[in-house]
Amino acid sequence: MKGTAELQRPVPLYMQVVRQLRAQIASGELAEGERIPSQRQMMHHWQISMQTASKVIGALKTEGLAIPSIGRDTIVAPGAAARIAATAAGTAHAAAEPAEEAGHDVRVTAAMTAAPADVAEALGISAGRRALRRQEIRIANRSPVSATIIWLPAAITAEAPRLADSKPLPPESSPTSPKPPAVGSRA
Amino acid sequence: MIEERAAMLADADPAKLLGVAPGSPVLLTRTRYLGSEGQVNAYSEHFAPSGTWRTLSYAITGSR
Repeated sequence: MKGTAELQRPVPLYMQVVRQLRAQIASGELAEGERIPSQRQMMHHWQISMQTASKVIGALKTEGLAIPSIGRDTIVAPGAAARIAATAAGTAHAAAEPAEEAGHDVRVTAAMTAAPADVAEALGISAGRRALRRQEIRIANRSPVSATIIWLPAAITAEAPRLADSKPLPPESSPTSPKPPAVGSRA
Repeated sequence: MIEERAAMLADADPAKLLGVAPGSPVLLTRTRYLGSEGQVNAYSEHFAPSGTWRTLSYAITGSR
């Protein structure tokens, strides 16, 4: 069984296990149709309670990453890896707003850096923890029309490394991403 | 998703990014993107200078 067995507080234990399993699914270590570790295996490997292990399975099912199989097994759902990639990429794409508008040039810079206190608070991480800072500036008629700074926890970046590239995300990377509500729009 | 919008005067950093003078009016949109477990997957600050946004008025109607 894989995954870092040392878990850290104050992040809920089940969430830490979910993140590890999600990363394994995203990387293909846990392939579609493959059996997800049983509650008993999780309890032994991560030293967690049965209730926590049950919560892990429930969270994976809620995310559509796991489905029941014959017997008492739970397996990786079809399309789970693609779903993780689309969700992670879509997060930043939505945050950046779509760049489909004609004539817009987008200048992107991205780097891992220490999160300032206000950003760390917003992300729910400790101040000074490293996070991805992705800056996107939209240019029209040679003038900036918007600037977006997106911060992502390192765990999200690990699942979608494309976000760390200093270049615009292709529109097809987020087919299901929620768009910002159209309360305001460019004049 | 939790979103907040506010009109404000640009600090030095966003002013530099937008190529406007510090103190210029901008529309700031702060957004927290939540995962299925309630955790924040991303946080963004979007700045738009004056003249690039317009306000839309709309009404939501319906009954329960």
